[in-house]
Amino acid sequence: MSKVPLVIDGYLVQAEPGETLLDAARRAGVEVPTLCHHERTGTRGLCRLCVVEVEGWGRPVPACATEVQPNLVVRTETEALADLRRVVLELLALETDLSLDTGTQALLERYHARPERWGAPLAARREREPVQDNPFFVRDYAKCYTCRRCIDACGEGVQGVWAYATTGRGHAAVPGTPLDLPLPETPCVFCGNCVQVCPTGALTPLAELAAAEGGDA
Amino acid sequence: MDDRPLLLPLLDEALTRRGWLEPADVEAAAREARVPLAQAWEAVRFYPRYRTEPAEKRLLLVDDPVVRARDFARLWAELEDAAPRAEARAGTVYSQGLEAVGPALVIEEGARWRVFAPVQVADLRALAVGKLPPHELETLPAELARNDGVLFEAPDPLPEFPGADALIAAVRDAGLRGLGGALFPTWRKLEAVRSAAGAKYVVVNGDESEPGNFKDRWLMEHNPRLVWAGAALAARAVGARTVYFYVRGEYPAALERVEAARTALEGEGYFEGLETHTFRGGGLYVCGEESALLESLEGRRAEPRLKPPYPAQAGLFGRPTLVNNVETLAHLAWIAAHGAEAYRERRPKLFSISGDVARPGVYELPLGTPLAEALEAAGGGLDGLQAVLMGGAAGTFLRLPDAAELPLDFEAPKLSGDAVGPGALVAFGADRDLWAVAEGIAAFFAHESCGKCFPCSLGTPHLHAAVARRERGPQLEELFLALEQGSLCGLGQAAPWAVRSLIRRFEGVRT
Repeated sequence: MSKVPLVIDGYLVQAEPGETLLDAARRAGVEVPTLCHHERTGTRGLCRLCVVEVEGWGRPVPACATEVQPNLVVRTETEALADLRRVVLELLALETDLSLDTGTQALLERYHARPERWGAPLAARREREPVQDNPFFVRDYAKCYTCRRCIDACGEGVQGVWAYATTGRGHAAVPGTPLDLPLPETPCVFCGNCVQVCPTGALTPLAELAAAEGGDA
Repeated sequence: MDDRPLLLPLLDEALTRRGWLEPADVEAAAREARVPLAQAWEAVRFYPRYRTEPAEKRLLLVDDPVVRARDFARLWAELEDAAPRAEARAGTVYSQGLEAVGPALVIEEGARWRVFAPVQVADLRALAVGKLPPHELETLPAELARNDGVLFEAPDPLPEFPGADALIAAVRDAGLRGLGGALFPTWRKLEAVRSAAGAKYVVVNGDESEPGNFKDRWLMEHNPRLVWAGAALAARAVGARTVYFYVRGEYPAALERVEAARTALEGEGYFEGLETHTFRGGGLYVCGEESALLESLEGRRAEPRLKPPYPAQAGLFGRPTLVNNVETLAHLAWIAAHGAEAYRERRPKLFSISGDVARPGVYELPLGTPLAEALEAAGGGLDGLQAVLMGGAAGTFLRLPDAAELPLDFEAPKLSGDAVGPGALVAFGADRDLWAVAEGIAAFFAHESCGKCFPCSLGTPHLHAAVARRERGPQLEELFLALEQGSLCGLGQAAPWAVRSLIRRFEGVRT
């Protein structure tokens, strides 16, 4: 099939048909920030950090969930987009323990985020107790911003066992398990995919935690 | 076609049987609906009515823009005081389509949901000694339809199907648009679904949860035959065999009457060749977003989908689906019966008018009616009014008398969010505190956010906190933009509109 020509940040890009704006931008060397997207999971359009402006369109669109079209003129880094990303990142950092999430920490720096200007946290995420219900990894949802990669990797996206379920609504939405059971009592086969795709360190192998603690001592 | 039973009705059956859900109930429902247990659990942990333990008795003050402008704080204090003595828990519940008859109280005992309106401070005090408020309300009073609207009349005879071409042309010539608020040209949706191949669906969106609106509730309770007629005609026009009527979860009388009308029409042979279903909605504001509504029908968390694809391309169970609001389909039925020309001469639209007017209710007025005239029709004189909340929570404050001559029509808005929308007009007298209304609206959005996208789930609680502090300034504007430009669906996008319009139009009036 023939290539799809479009302009991203002033560069003419020859994209593959069916490709997303995010992938086309990446191949052109333009790094659009994203938190929820992962190449192996179906999660997309949730974090909204990858929204980009397309000339002639109304609201910005998520680059991870928008297919290339011929002759689009796309801007991935404008003042308005930077403002939007900064606000989302600030609220995220205010509400979530990002101490193990170096990727998001880098984004906070890149967008000069100052979470403290929003006052005190409201979502009570940071008060969630870690769940240690299996011999392999800890589920520390104080560190989770509910990108749902783990849920998708476990269910529809990769493994197809459905040992996780999204629970709650709004800022209280968080991964849980069917019937709130401990993981070993769910269909979980401890394949480790969820831990692999977790971007925040909310799911961390116990061995890694032990090593880190040992290193500190 | 998918012949699996739907999950939510299975959960509802168990809920009705026991009053709450045990793990075995959820497992059985998941098995029968042939969905993973995880999916059933997501539904249980999303929709508020699926309790997993015995429910305590709750006294719920209905929290809507009208009561927020008046004595919400006083009523709430009284209820909080009375509840423990009535061995119940005090709480609030957002708009129930009762703005015209409030303040309202819901008493929830097990699966029983009793509504009392209007209630006064003394009624709430009397709850403590076991006395129920004097006015129980099962339906919206039929008399709330205040004038001689054609949409208030039952279709007699039932409109015949004029053929797909003729019907779609009539809908196009009539200029009918989506009256749930989106105002999308109805004929284009019809055409899109009609041109798709294979199995398809029609879904009636009766999930009216937009604060300040109650015209769909009135139609479902008092003229459901007209809406069903529109749905059946639309199904024939697009070539769909199956129709689902999605009724807001907290409207039990509407659910009952929609189902009764369905049974009657089926008996009369009006649905020949069609399969029709009444569906009890999930009971959350976000369920009214059309793609979230479809998710909920499918037994998932009612979370809006990324678009495209639109429901007309890939809707219910991935099939092309026509989703139309209750009022839109009532109009469609009237157009089928009376023709596009008669419709264009009237340009009827239902308005839910409440607040500081003498005769709050549902009014059928021609599109283009100036705002002041609409308010006068309901007995609201301009001299005493400072503002109107137009559209609903996802609407804007208009300042009076500045906006008096504004024609209530589909035309382009001045401020982002200014739109007739579904047709709510909430009037506020000079002494009402608009900031208290805005705070209630912000709290509503924070409560109703589904939790899918980050800007909305994180931004709406902070918007609420900022409005509670009566904050203004550039940082708040940044939050408005992040919500409006960043959120995935209309809920988060619209969350800042009311408070932004208040700041822009009323700043300096009240501090």
